[in-house]
Amino acid sequence: MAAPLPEGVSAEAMSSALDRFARIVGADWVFTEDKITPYEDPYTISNDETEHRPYAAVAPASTEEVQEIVRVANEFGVPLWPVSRGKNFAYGGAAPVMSGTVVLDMNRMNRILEVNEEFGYALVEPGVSYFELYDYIQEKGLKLWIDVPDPGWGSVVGNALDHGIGYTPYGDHFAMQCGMEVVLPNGEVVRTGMGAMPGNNTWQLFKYGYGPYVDGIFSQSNFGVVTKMGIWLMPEPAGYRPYLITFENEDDIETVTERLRPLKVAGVIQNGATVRSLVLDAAITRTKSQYYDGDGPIPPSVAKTMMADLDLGMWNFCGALYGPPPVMDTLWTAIRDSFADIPGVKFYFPEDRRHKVDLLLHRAETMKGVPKLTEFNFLNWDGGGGHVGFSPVSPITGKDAIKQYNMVSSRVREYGFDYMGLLAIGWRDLHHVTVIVYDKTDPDERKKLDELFNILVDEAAAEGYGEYRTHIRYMDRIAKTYSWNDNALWKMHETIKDALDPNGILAPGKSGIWGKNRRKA
Amino acid sequence: MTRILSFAFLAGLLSLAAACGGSSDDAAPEADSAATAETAPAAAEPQTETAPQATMAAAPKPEPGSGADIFAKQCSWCHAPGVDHPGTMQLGATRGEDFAVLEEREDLNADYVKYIVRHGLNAMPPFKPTAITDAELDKLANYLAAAD
Repeated sequence: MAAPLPEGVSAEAMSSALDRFARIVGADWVFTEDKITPYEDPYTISNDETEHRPYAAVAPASTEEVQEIVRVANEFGVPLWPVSRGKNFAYGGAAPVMSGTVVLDMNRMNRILEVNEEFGYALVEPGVSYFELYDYIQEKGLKLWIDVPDPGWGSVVGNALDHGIGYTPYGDHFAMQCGMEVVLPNGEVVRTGMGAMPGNNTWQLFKYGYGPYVDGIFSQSNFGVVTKMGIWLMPEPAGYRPYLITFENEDDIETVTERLRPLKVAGVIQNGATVRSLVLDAAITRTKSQYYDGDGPIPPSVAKTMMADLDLGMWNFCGALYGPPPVMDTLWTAIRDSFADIPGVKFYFPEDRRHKVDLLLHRAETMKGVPKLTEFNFLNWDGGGGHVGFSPVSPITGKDAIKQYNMVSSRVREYGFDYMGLLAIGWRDLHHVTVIVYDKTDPDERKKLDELFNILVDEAAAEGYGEYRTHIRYMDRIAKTYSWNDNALWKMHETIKDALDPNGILAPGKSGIWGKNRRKA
Repeated sequence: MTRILSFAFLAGLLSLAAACGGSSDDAAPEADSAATAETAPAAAEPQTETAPQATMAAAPKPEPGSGADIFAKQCSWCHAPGVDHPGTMQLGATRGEDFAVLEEREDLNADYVKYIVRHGLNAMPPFKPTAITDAELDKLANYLAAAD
């Protein structure tokens, strides 16, 4: 079925706006009707065909074209949903929260404007993928690493703006962002930080400039369209040694997390290390049917077989050492000694692994910033192709780790799914990311997943756990869990929204923020 | 098993032919049935492990803008040889090793390739016309259809 028009927008207004968009970008870069299919959420959860459907897409090639599009959108009241490359697939892809929204596809703005080896940064447009930035650096022979999330085809800008994470010491992508160019909802362009000063040459070197630091309000928000962004890049280290430590028992996650905290807080663990569950890791090289033909989640006896077969544990801690060899040796001694007394623990370097296609060999690449898509073998686990991420945050404590694991895994298994989770160790927190892999072609399974997801959000919130990022379908629900002092923070977001975007044309509903024209009481 | 899967694949192709002639509304359920066919029961034996490709740069560089070049830049991450590529792994598990590596297949036709690129299949998401333009898609589809 055709996508509905956005609420409050007439067919005439939409048609006029699309004509004007075509005059700005060229008719070849406005997509409607059957050309809009690639902008839909390919892993849709909803069974209601009228939900989260884009009406059209428009693809500008320059900041000036973005400005003109935004002005036309204001004139006709047509809402826009900006996406960098639209590869945020566990969270909705390019599809909008509100049906009828026109996708503003930034993919054509894919210039790498500068890579500076001396200072270690890049200035890129939103259409630049990790693959492209990596290839550029390799071709030029620069001694720089990038930091990648699992989808190497994703946007460097888009992932940072959505607070994505990777696996090197530069794994907190938004923390590594420095300086932006942003088109505001009224069409005006601003440069943040030092970029505001004419003739200044520290735009990508010093984040804060002078006055309020505003870059954060353009992340996970709908306050502007980012058209350029600086990102710091890590100099290639003198040495690199990835490792894997496996733990045999489900309950070990409590002790492991307790031991991890001091190591991470003190910087002994240098990178965006992860503790990963058995099925998630097994799924990188195997399918479920190779081990289990029954319905529902795999039973514990099968887990034992998988562990022996793949040299994995119930939990698998992937980390890496960076620096001159004596530094790596010293760090490794401290890390190994921290876990050595846990019964059943095993330590591996890449040369110790039996299989040619293997978790550690795969992670050895991502932990040095080589972009790939190998991780998405987990989509083949059960054959259904769909996936969604549930991503609450907690302190790095054993008590919280085991509590979250028990809460989430028991619910996930109750609904018939395997638990596929990882704990990504941040500076001071754990991102507990559970991927639920489901059959996207089965309406009953989608309904079941939707019910499960809502329960997970509510149960996490009841225990004081909030998600750091979410799928378009749950943005309102999660915004409501950040409700301290009568929703004071979201009221402030709305005040900013109304000041910058009085017509509510930019990304209605992003992160639960709506313009005043569509705000529900 | 092979015969059943081959039949399922043909059914997918036929339904695709129907889909291409109809509106996009009609196409959606047909595409889903093609997807179901590809998820038919997996082979029980473990897949052959192929060592990961050392690097993309090791292979001779295709001519810029050619079908081979577009494949290398857009598709190889999932469809290069070796089970560390999700598309190759999925096709090997569900269709068998002979169908696992797209560039080695002789059964692909250009219209089928174009349809899958724009609509996705199973875990594979569709590609936007800004990522692969219609002109590039023609080259890519002809390259895969001609591959032997």
